[in-house]
Amino acid sequence: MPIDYYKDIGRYIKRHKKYDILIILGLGTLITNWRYIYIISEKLKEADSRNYLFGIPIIYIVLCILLYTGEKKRITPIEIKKCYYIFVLIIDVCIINCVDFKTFHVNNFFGVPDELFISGLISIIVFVAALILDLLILSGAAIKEINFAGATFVKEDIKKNIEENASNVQVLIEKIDAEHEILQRFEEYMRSMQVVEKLQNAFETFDWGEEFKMLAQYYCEVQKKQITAECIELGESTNLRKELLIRYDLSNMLCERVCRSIMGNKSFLSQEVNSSYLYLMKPLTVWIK
Amino acid sequence: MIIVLRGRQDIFEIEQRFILNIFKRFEDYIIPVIAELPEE
Repeated sequence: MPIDYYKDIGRYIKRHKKYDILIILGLGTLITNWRYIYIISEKLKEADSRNYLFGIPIIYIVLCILLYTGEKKRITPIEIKKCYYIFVLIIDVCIINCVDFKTFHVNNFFGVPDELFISGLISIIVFVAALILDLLILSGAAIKEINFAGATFVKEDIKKNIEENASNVQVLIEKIDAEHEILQRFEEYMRSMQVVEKLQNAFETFDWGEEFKMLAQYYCEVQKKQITAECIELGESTNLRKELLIRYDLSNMLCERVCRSIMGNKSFLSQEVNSSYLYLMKPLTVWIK
Repeated sequence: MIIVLRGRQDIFEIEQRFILNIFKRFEDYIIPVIAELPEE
């Protein structure tokens, strides 16, 4: 009966060229049960030992692994897991077949033969151990936090993430504070900058860029951060790409991106350049060309 | 016109909204002034 089964498996593999996990698990299950089959067949038929059959499924499994991994150029974590559990199955069956059951005395409360009970117990222990190893090592990356005896162990990257988030929240609070302060003191600022007077006296020569730049600089200063604000006027003769290249040493690709953003009427673009951060913004306003 | 801010690395996307809010406030402040300017 088992030989026919292996032959069927062999034919299936040959015909379909598929080395699916189900076949492997099927074979693995058969191997783990082999001891039971052997024991039952011995008990029922009083047949001779057929230990040579033990090697057949292992050959199939090794063949499956070789063919399966040979087909794939890139091994995925799932495939590694498959191979891992196949290996566990082989270890399990080796243990079961090497154990001398007579040396064990267990409380067999299921009423099944001792050999079956011990074999089952060993299989369970091996698979639980394999599962724990899997969770801790193979799938360990997915575990973010472990709680043990009231203590919490958080993975380093999560800890870093939490600290970064806390820092970001602090910066956000500072920004909100700065905005609040600016809105509260806005009129005072406008008076100090004499904006109304400038408009009334010299509207035609009013420097919009400078005013917006000063306002942005004021906002940055309120946050007590080292930020400088600059303004690029986009006159008809201005070559924005050239301007960006000269002033900020931006790459051609980035210049192209900025120009596209401006043409697409997108207001913002932020970019890290030479370990400093550039933040380009086009104020959309009806008063500014 | 392009405003360029340089320096800090923790500029958020939300920064732009804050600054635009302030610019909007600036506009709201000067629109009545410009409207009252004598025509030349």
